Amino acid sequence: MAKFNAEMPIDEINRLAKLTSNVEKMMTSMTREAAQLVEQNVRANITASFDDPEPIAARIKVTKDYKTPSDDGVNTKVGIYGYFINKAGKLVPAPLAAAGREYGTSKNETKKPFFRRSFKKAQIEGKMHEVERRYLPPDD
Amino acid sequence: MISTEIEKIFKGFTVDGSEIPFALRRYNGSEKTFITYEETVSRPAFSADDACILEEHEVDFDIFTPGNYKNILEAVKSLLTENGFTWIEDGPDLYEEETGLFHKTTTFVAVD
Repeated sequence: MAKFNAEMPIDEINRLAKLTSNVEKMMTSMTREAAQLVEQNVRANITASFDDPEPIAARIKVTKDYKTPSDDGVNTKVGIYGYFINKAGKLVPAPLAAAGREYGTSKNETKKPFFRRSFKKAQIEGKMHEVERRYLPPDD
Repeated sequence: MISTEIEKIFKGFTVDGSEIPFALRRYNGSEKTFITYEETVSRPAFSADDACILEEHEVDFDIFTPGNYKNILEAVKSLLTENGFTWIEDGPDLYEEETGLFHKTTTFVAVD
């Protein structure tokens, strides 16, 4: 009976081992740097949506990187968290004020989206590929 | 014009036997349940010979109601999908204390 043995080149084994050990770190960097990019976009867009953007701008946060076991995902969130005191001296939840401006209200607030338009798919993908190139060993 | 097409699609829009008023940006009538719509972004979808051939319109549909918006949301989504719109996302569940209305935004894209 014919028999065939193949051995993988040691360089290729080392390359794959390095790749495997770096994957999680790479994914974390990808989501983090993309989230930071989105944060910059939100900060840039917010000035056109609010007369006084400072209270909301101060409450934009990028979360810690975290894993979701259900889908083995690596995530970093950009969001608006916390409260601020408005001009009338009332304590206002910042996410509620931001949602009012993003989606408008039935009373008197017009819609001025600033958050959703900060997620630019091509820009985010470009940043992720940039990070990926830093981690992946070059092709021979 | 995308707004002309949208107005035509929603003419006589009825859910659970009640006709729901539909308006661009702001509804000034007296009904408690109503829908407004607004184009939020328009961008080139396809270009040729340095000119835009197709435009992509992102439109928010805002449902306001004192009750449950689930059936209205489903009816809006199926009507728009049947008419060639593509669903993008739904906004968060909002409740407006000033008017006592629940507010749900659904976003669709159309190309023309």
